[in-house]
Formats: sequence, structure tokens, C-alpha cells
Amino acid sequence: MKLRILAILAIFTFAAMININAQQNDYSNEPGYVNFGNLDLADENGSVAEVILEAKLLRMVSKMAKGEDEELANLIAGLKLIVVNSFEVSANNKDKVVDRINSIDKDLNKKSWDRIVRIKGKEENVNIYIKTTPEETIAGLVVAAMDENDQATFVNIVGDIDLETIGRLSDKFDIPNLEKINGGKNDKDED
Amino acid sequence: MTKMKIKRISLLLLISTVGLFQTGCFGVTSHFKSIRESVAQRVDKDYVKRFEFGIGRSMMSVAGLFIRVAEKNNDESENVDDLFAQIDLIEFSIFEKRDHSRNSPEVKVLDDLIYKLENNHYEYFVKFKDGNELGIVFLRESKDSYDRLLLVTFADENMVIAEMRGNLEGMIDWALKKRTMEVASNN
Repeated sequence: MKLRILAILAIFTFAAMININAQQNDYSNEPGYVNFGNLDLADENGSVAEVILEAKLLRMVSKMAKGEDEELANLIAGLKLIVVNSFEVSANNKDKVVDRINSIDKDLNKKSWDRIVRIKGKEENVNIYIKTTPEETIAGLVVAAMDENDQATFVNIVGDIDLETIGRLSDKFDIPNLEKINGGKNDKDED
Repeated sequence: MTKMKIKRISLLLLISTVGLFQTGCFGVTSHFKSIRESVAQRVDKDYVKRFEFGIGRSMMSVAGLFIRVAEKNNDESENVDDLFAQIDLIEFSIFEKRDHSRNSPEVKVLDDLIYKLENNHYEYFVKFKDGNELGIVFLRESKDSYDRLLLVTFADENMVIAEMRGNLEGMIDWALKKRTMEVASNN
């Protein structure tokens, strides 16, 4: 009987451990998380990149940055996830990209994200959104952009975000368009 | 110098040279073989293995020296040299396409690799496609850090699987800045 109870306990403990591991990589419960889907917008012959930096790797990067730049290291340490999807835009996929940017806009508006930057021009289309928590902290940031160099970028940053300093990630990871955030929460239209 | 002494010195030199090559360049570990098999299974019969070898610290130092000499006007050569100095081991497996007329793999292959390798505690953090080149970079989890960096690339007629072990911090930093962000910013 004792052996049976021990065996059941062991099974439950093991199952719990698996569950914990599964949750470590599951960000769908994070208010600041957005799933952009696969890189299916990319043109067949164009270049495409996807970078995913999860919490563990971000801690390592933060540790590496500490010696050079304490402020940047602290900024990175507060983050849980950075996802960057970037690809070339051509005549073949331009419409799909624009549609995706528009559908992300609708989706985020429905989910009560605030758009803080909107640039809509002939060659450039940039939207930047933030997700604010009830405690008035910023838990997520999204950049959906297509620039004049025919490059489309979708960025999602999850974690404890400071708008005053988030632009610094632009230098560290060369993430485009983050420098357009000036720390304001007002929608800035530029044409 | 007596004939005996010369013979002894020659034998010593021979053993040292063999020993040097043993520590510098050798076959791959069983761990790498199993990872190579996991990757190769995904591409099925499209590729055939051509070369496979490992490079240890001593050969890495030689490689670093070559880089520094070859790139002496390039400021980055010292950085690359420093990066290699922190790596204990790199293992390579180079494959060639069986049928050169067949198309190169698509991005979907990378997704399949992610699925296949996650059970071995490999997490990907970079995925890229640039013209004819397709690739993915994984890190293997170990306690609170990462102990291996695995790169799988498809370029023209070849598939290369490379895994490195050692102090990976510098290599990760370099990979983030140089490889993917060059693609992302269209440089």
C-alpha cells in the first residue's frame, strides 16, 4: 500500500515538473504577448529573419551587458521575451504585408492595446503599441512596420518595459523603429 | 649526438605531432552524432554526408592566428579571434545534396527541426533565410545557462551542421548582432 502511494506521488511530481517546464516557454498568458504566426508573409526569394530571445537568454545577455552599460543591463533583465520577425518586401508580398499590419492593428485595438506611434506615408507604415496593466505598468510592446527600404518588421517585447529607455534596445539588437518611441503615450500621426 | 638519441628525439617528435593533431582535429563525439542523425533524418534521403570532424582548442588557436594574419587590417579580426579563444570544441558535419536539380529546403524544414530538437533541450533563437541560404541557431539548456550552440545551414548544394561548446556568451552576442540583424536591417 505504502509503495503504491509513493509511486502515485512520484508520478504526480513528475507530471508537475513537466507542466512547469511547459509553462516556462508558454507566453500566451502574458498580457504583453502577441503571436504573429509563422514567416509566411515572406517572398520566396527574399531574405527573412526571426529572432526569439526568451527570459533565460535575456538574463545571459543582461549579464554580458552589465560590464559595459548597467542601465541597459537592467533594462534587459526586466524583459521576458523579445521576438523580431523581419523580411524583405517585394511587389509579390507587399499587399499581404499591408493586410497583416492592418489586421494586427484591428486585433490589438480589440485587446485594448494603446497605439502610441503611427506613421503612414507612401513608403513607410509604422505602428507601435503598448499594453498597460491595471497597475499602470507597461507589460508589452509591439512594432508593426514597413519601411522605405522595403523591409517589414514585426517586434513583440514582453516584460517590464520603460518607454524612456526601451529605445536603447534598438542599438543593442539593431531592432528598427524603436527609436521612434519618444516616451509619450499620445498617438502621433505623421504624414 | 648519438644515433640512439636522434632516434629517441625523432620518436618524441612524431608522438608529439600525432598528439597535437589528436587534440587539434579529430572525429566527432557520440552526442554530436546523435544530433546529426536527428537533423539528417528530417531531410531524409536528400543529402549525403561528405565530411565530419571536430576541432579542439589547439587547432582553434591556430585558426584564430590565421584569421588575425589574414584580416590584419580588419578591426573585427581580433574580436573573432577572441570569440574562438573561448570555444573548447567545434564539431562539423558537411552534407551534399544528392540530386542537384532538386530545390533547396524551405523554411518549414526549420520548424520541423525545432520540433525534433526541443526534446533534447535545444531552443532556437535565430532563424534566417537570405537568398539561397537557410539557417537556424539553437542553444542547448544546461541548468541556469547554455552549454552548446548548434547551427544548421542550407546553402546551395550543401547542408552544414556545426556545434560548439565552451564559453558561448561572446558567440551569442556576435550572432545576435551580426547575422540576423544584418538581414533584418537589410545591410
